[in-house]
Amino acid sequence: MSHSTARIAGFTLLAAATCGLFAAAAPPDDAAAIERLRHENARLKRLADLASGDDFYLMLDPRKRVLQLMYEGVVLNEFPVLDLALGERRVLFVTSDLPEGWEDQIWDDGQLDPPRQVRRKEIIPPKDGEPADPVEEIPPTPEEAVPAPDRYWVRYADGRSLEIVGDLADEPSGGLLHRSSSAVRLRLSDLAAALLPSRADALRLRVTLRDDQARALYRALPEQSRFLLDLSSR
Amino acid sequence: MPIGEEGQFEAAWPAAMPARRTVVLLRYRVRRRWLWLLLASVIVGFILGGGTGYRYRPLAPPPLTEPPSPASLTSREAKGLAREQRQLRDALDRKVPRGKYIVIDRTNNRLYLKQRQEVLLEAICSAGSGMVLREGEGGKRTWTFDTPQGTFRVLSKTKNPVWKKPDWAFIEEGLPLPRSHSERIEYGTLGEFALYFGDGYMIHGTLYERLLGRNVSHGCVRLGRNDLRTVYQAAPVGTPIYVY
Repeated sequence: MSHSTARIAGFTLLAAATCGLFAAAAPPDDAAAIERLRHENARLKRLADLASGDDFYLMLDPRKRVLQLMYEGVVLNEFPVLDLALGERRVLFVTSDLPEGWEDQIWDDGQLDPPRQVRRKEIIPPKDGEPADPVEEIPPTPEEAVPAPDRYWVRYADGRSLEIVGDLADEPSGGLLHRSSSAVRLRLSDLAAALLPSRADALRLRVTLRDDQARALYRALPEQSRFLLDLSSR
Repeated sequence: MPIGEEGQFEAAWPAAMPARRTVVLLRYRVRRRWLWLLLASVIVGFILGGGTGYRYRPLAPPPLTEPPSPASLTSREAKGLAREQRQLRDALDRKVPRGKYIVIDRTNNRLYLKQRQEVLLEAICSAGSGMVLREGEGGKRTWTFDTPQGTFRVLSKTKNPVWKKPDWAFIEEGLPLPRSHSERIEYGTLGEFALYFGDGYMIHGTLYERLLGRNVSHGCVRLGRNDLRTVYQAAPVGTPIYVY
């Protein structure tokens, strides 16, 4: 081996040894940091999945206390949340376990309960030779055309539901009989929902909105919407 | 008949009618037992019913955590995850229009001009009535006057638009279909401006501003004069329109 070749080999060995020392001295990435990255990436993938789909979706952010109606990643409307609660099913004082991973999944195929009553009218044109009706009927306002309840549910697949309540739902209105009958009806509905397999909600997210906004959302919510609980840790 | 101890019955009842007294006493005992059973059932029902239903508790957001600094990540896995996160955030950011966009709530008859999260204008509009018109006398065509749902773009803008009346406008009034093009032209009906977003649908003005807020149109979106001018001036061709 020539003298220059020996020198090159020696320098190469020295450089490798130095790199090895540095590599050994660098601290390994924190496992918690990697887990946070994975968790955040999974959340962003869910958002990307919703944004690339054809469906409208609701996104609830408990930290910002806001419920957003979105489409293709764009916020169409935003509703400040006045109160937020998680409802767990209970039968004879035994609370059922919540579905595993419910807070990290997209809820699909939302259906309004009670369903919106949409009535379509048919235009009857005047016959030839007959004058048009001079009295034009004034169409109803949206509130008249689609009466909205002060409390309703959006029921998703796998027994998950979003319960939307107007902030005036529990306020006294109407006579004692009316309020009592409403309370009894609600109680019986909850009992039926907890007991009947066909109607059981595995979990409920109850969101309280301003009364007019809750009703506007009922009228306007597109069918088969999706839902995501956005539990960002940022 | 007073309800009380058995002795009171015997004392109050003539001794000459023992058989009838026995029957009445038996009826009283049975009725009291049934009353107690009923009361017990109601109490148990309330207790069990109170323990069945849904129990609500506040939903707390997760604790805030500081995201790891990219410079602090050394492993290949962590760097890969950080790169993936940047790509996902960029992709989501690209979905949001950079400039102004229009959102139309066709059920509540509201139009919003927005930029990012800011609402620049909230206007009362009139969207499609949802009515149905069928072509009579052997015709097979049916029209449903809904404002379509989904994503659109402003394709063109016009000042002093002219309405070229489609067939349904004549059928609706019971008039025969015109033979010449000029018979379909109507001036002034659509207001001062129009923004066309495809398939015959437009955002335009109206002669009936008193009906704004109600679903009265044949699918187009009607605005009041001032709001229409604002939208026309603010929204260039290519502005996204979201309808729900």
